Amino acid sequence: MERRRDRRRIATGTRWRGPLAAACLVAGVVGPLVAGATGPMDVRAQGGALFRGELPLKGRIATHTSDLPTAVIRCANCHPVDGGGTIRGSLAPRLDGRSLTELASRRGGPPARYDAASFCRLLRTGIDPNRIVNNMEMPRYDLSEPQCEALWAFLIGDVHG
Amino acid sequence: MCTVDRSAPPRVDHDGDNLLSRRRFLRTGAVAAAASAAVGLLAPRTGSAAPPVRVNDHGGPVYPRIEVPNLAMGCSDETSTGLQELLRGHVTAVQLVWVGCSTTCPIQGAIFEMTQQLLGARVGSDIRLLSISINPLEDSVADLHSWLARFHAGAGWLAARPAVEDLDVLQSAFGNTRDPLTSHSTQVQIVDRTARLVWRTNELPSPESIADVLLAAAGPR
Repeated sequence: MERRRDRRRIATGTRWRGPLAAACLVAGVVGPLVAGATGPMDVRAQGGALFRGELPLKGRIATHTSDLPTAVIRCANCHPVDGGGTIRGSLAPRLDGRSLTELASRRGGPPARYDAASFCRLLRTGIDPNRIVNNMEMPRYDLSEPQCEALWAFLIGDVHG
Repeated sequence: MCTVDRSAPPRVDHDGDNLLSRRRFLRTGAVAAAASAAVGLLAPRTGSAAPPVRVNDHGGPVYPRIEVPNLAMGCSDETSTGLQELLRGHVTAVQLVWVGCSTTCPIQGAIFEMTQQLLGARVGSDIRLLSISINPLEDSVADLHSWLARFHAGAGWLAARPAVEDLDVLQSAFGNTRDPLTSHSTQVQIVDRTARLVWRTNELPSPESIADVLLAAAGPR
């Protein structure tokens, strides 16, 4: 009987340990990154703050050995988002749920679409879903998984939110 | 700030200077000559005018060295001078930007800021950095000044703008083959003490690579 109770305790502990660890990871990694004076932001708000450079971003030009300041590599410097105006002199595409997730030809390649994984790969390596390398003006970002997921959630929010 | 500092000792530039050995220069020259010939053959000809020869538009040594056009420049300190006068006496890294640009220009500014940090006291003594606006219609003297302040420019980093009518000449001299009013190269142009273009970097070069080329072109202190 005692042994059975122990087993149940162990099983319960095991059942909770995974989600608890994930929650701690999110709270521990994302929380401190995005907690402002008004408390923690939700994931989409975190993505928006990263997009606008209100939260620190690590990134550099592919040929460089040093990171550049957040203010000069924030996504909003080049990419308009859904509902926003155009950006003078920018050739970078507008980013929203439709433009990212619809099947479309990008950089002259065959039709492709982004998902969360391929979006993160592009941000980190410059390689798009068709394995075409992005232009060098776009920095390569050193993003954590929660940061990447937050950016993705922010950009596709209008479609799936 | 555009006032030319003549305290730097004059130097004589030789073809076999520190930037490239004589042998490399000759080898590069042969390649450049072949490339020039290819450009000449491929370029469309209009009338009897020979097409302009471009060398190393994609980065690398410029041989023979090209004299920078002596365009009138307005500077961030409200003085005016010729571009050659602005460049003579120092080895200079030149970038093309416009102050209202939010895309590549801030990255270019940050790259020059990091280059300035790497070079320390050499910037302002025998080496200079120069940001030239390609949008003189919008970039005022105050804007040039704010550009420099934004990236913590020291005394050896200048900003200037050409006259609108000289834009295409300026852009052509510095490797832009597209519309001079809406686009610009993000390469850095290295100009020697005699106002001749000696090197073009790749697009958005690293601060370390700019510093290395500037130091090689300037020689030891």
